[in-house]
Amino acid sequence: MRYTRSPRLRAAIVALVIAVVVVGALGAWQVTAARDSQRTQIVNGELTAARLASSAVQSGISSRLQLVSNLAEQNVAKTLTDTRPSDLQSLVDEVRGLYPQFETLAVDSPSGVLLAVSPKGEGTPGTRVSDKPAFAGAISTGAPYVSKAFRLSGDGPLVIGLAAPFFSGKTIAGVIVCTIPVTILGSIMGSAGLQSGGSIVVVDQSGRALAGPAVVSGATYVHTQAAARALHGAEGTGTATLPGFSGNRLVAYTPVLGLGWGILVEQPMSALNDPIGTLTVHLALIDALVVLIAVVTAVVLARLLGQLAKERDEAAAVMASVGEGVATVDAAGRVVRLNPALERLSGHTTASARGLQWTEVLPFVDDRRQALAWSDSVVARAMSERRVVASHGFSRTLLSANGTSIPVAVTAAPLTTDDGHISGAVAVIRDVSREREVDELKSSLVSTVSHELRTPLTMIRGFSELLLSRKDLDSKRSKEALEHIHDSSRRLGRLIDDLLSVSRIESGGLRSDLNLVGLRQVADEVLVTLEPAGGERVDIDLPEGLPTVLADPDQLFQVLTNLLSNALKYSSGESRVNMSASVARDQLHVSVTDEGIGMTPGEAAQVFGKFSRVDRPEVREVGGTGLGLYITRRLVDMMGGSIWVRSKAGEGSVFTFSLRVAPADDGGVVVKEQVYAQAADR
Amino acid sequence: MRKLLIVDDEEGVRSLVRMTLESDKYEILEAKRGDDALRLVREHLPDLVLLDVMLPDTSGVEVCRALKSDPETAPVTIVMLTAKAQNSDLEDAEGAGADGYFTKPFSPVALLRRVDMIFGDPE
Repeated sequence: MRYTRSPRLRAAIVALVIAVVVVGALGAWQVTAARDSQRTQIVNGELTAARLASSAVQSGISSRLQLVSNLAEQNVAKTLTDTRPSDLQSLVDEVRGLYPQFETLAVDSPSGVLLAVSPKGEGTPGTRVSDKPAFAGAISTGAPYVSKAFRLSGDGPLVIGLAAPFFSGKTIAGVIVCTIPVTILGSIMGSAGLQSGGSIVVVDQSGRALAGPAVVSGATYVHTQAAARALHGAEGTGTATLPGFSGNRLVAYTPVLGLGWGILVEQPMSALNDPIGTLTVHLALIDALVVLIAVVTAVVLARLLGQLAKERDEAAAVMASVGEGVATVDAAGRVVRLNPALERLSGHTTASARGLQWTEVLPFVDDRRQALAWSDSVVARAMSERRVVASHGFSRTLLSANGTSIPVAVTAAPLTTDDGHISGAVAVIRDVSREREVDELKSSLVSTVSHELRTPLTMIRGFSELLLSRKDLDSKRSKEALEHIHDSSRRLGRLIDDLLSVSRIESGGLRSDLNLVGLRQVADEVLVTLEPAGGERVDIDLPEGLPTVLADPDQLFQVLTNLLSNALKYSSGESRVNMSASVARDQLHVSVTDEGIGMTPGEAAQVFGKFSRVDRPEVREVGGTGLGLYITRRLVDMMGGSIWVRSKAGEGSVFTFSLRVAPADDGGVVVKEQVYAQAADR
Repeated sequence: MRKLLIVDDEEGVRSLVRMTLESDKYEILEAKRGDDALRLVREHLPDLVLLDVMLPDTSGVEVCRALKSDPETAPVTIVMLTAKAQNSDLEDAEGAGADGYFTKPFSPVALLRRVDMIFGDPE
């Protein structure tokens, strides 16, 4: 039996693979989307922080510049102008004392000479300061100016210069320059830091970092695109490598308006990767779980489907291999399927019969040859009565598509769904030709045996009653009556012997005990017993020097008796019966020839069958059970030979049987066993 | 002397009937086949025919039917002699016009009594 994988199973597996791929892709998409969203969130946070820082820096620096500008605009400037240089120093010191937030406070001449500085010692009055960025910026713009970071002395701290020119009339009378340390930016920005990690870098107009970790390394951001854009007044976010930081950073940048500075806010990529990593791990776990569930489901489903397919294949194989016809019909009585046995029986195929009405495909007739209506069919009754229904005895005959009539037995059972509806029926249609033959044979046996028993019994009873009741019978009649009684009892004995022989042959209880047997000796014994039945008409015509044969002497005796008595029975009292024999290779052929009634070829073909009697008056007149030749054939078979007949109606018959010739002299015992074994195998 | 015809294929049965009935009252004729029976009845017009159902050439019922449908032989009393005591056989015999039946195996004494009764002369 071969099981084929169901296409549905294959489809289910493909669907599952697709589902797993889709779940994976969805997971990947989710990770990417989450990553993008997280990134946006982070950089937006950075940008906000940058703006806050920018705003803080702008207002912090501007307010200080405003102070410087105020100093320049107020009379302080005029005072300064009017003050003698020798007194200037003390004035500057005084003013600076009012503004401790300034690291230094200096007054320069319009030509770029330091006039005074506080605290003292931060510069030497009279030195040129025209190259200092704060002074230069204020002179060139003629307005308050915030310089880039610079150092007051070679190794001094970085400071930012806040310069404001003061005027005498419309000419610049001098410049006030205050410095603040860049470190002040940290306190200016104060709480404008980031919620999570990262740092803020303030970049001045020259690209120098003023605050943040990068200050230490004195890195320049001139070549950093984000810084350059911020310095040009642009705002944005991106990923970049930053001087002073390792690896790629997430960066947001914004300008500090009015100062020409920029703010960069940066965080390491890990700020993005860490939560995304966690999310990815969670998603991967969920995906793995989904895939696992999918795989488990797939395996269970595959097994289930495989089981179903197997069961279906098994059911189909059972349907196909069962020897009896099986058909299924739907609730409307239309054929759904015929199994191969029923296809052979009915001459229809499932393909040609599917959808046709039951009675159309399988027309049944009853024992009066009347077509059976659908409502009377066992299939219809099984469905309407909701039980198994079977046809009785030999009441159904199927008319097959090729025109033959087949006696059948039909059994039908309703098919019910889980909710109790009748969905159709299954019918088993069995060819009962053989059973019908057996049944007819049985009737024939009963009829033959009862006739064969009653006739001699009638005579035994009748004649004995006559002998007992009639005192007037003379001795001749008494003898005649006794002879009838005697013949009848012998006839009964023979009948019983025949029946017992058949029974023993059929049950395998009869065996041939093969011995070395001389044919002539057995023939002579038979002839003696046949004397009352006309044995004097038999000519035994055996050549001299016939070899001995392997035979069971008792069975050979019975075979010869049957053949010779048949020959005598079916031929006239004037004709002769001849028995002859000849050797053909290792076989001895024994023939019994009569000039009796003979047989037609059809009769001859059936003559060795059980209860086979030629149906002709001459035969019925003679009487008999129809068992003799059947027994004869079986006995010859058992002895390893065969039997056949040549006959012509009205002219006579020649029955011939063969026996094995015994091997010469030696090894007789061994041969006997071999032949016995062969005979037993039959 | 009344004429009786016994029709049976078994020689023993004919012999038994003959031995039972043969006397100065009855003359016994014998036939073993249906055609012989028809011929003998037409030839001798016996008073009684004891007719076996199972004959070699035909059924005793058919012989009965043939005799009863022929006006010349219809008056002949026919008693079917049968080994079969089945209802269907008896119905067939009745349908064919048989006057009675007698089942095998039979008692010769009963047969003699029955025949005497048919002719209305009890002993």
